Amino acid sequence: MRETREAGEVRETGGTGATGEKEDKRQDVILSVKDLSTSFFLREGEVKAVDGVSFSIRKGECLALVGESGSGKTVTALSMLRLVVWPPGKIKSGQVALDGASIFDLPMKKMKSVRGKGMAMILQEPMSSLNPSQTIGRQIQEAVEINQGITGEAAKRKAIEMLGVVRIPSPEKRYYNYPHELSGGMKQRIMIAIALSCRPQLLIADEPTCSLDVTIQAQILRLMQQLRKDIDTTILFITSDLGIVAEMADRVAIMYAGQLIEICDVFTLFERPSHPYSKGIMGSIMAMKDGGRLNIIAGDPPDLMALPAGCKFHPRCEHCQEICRKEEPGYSDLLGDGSHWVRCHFPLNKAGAL
Amino acid sequence: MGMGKYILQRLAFTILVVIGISILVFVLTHVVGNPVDIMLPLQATMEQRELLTQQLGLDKPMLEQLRIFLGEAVRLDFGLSWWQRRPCMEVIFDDLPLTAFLIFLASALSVVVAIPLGILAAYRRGSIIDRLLTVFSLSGICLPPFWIGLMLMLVFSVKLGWLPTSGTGTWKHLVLPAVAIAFRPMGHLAQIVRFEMIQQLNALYVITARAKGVDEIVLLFRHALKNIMTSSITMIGNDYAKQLGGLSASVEVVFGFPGFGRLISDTIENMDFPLLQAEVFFVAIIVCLINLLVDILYAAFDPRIRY
Repeated sequence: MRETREAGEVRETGGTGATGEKEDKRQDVILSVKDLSTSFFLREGEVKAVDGVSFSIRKGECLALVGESGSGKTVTALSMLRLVVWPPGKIKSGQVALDGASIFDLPMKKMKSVRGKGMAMILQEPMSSLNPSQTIGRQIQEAVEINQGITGEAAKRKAIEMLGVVRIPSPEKRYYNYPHELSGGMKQRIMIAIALSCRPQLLIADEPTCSLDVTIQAQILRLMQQLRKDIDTTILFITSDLGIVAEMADRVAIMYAGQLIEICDVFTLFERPSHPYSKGIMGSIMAMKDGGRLNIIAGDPPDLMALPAGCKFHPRCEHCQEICRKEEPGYSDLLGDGSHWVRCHFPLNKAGAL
Repeated sequence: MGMGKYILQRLAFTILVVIGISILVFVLTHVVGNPVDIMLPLQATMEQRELLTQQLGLDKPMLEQLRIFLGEAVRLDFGLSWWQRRPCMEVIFDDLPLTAFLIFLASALSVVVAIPLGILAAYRRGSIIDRLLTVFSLSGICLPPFWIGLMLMLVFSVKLGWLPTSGTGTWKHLVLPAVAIAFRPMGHLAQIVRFEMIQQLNALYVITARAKGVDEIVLLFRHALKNIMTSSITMIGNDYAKQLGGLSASVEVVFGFPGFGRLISDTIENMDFPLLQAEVFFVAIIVCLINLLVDILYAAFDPRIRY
């Protein structure tokens, strides 16, 4: 059933028009996000952390969600799980469908059936993302008990098994450790073990390596790649590291100032990015490779409290024209087959030429 | 260091504290005034006064008096109460156990009420419920306990006739005083629990727990509650000790309850040095033991604390 989902069924949940990525024509869409907007209402005003984001993920795929910090990646993920806390955060509009079933229509009490089994999340701060007063084994076991329908000794054995899966040495002993007795890298493995114990349809990894040192980063990435091969999960990988994108992702979605500005497969992005911002961030690594000076994007990251009119990127864009200052661009389907969407009035490389 | 060694060390420390406090109280009582003036009628002659001073041992040098006092205190012998004319130990143990139990009841009540209310307020912070609970807990802290006691008495004894107004003897006599005493610790604890719970609910581990599908009730009571227990038990222990140290006196007076708080204030009024010293001695021991218990409980609730 899940594998043969018709594109037409997905269309029914969406239909958002100009700002939405049009329906993914391909099959096996496991998650679709349509026109998602989440804001934080602070004393100083509204912060549009996520503004009309649409994308979809196919089964077995790894989609990287890329953007600088503050671009709305994490809030997008938290909104998908409806974990944005009010006050001050609120999901203003949008549709999220997991396996065809709309999540935002569920009563909040039913959300616990989506969290875990449906979508599990690895948070970016392993240091503070575990409960300090519970053993790590207990915390994994809880995920097993809730989501795999087994309890007691069997669940405990499963939790110990999961410790082994994420390569924790002597798992039987480590089961009884508390988070403060573990290193950062080990805690991140525990986070992964918890998320995997949920057996999720979609695994959301929110910068799982960002607070770790480089060697540990490599270990965690290798582990995640291995696990991806072994259990064939669908992953939404949130990161700001393009090196990780190249290693992990099938497709990439780039966010800027709360908006999704370009989405395409990873090769296309690296070879011929279409949005000037994407080209800018790609340029920064390309230049490094050639031994040249680091190309940086002029200007500062946007102030979410005072976003410009028109295209959010226009103050920093070297191709900026009159229309960019006035009118917000909609999505355009570059190749006409739904594989490459860009939100720009004047996309680069339109003809596919470099 | 092992737990056993830690406890022994703390008990040794307790002895030092008790000795220190005993000396302090001894010195303070002996400089505040002359008990002989209070014990004898105004028209007593000089001879009578000197005789009594001699009988009480107040004519001896202060250091000598202190030495005698400490020597007897070690044997838990505080001599006769000047005011009640019977052994201090007897006077204290007439009142202390029942009062300790009364305040324990009040503490238990405050815990049972304040923890769920504090959690609810934190969970629904900013809501009407939260504001009502804040008003409730702040009134508990601000309203004088004797007034609360009088109001309770008015409603439940005078109007409804469910519970006795004063005295002691049955469990019914304990209900209203316990409730009246409970209001202040309840207010303190509810505020602490609310504040700490808000901190916990902002912690990332809460997102982790929710993201794996944990039920909200389980999240609050199995995950977050344990993390706020260290500050809560600090407050509970502190309030218990304060009440037992004499704060419960006004409520005891209102309900005609022969309590320890009332005994302390009467003792001070009568300048009954031996009895006062004995009272302070026991309060000090109890406070130290409560602190020790609180510290031991820290380790039970927070795995990062080890002795």
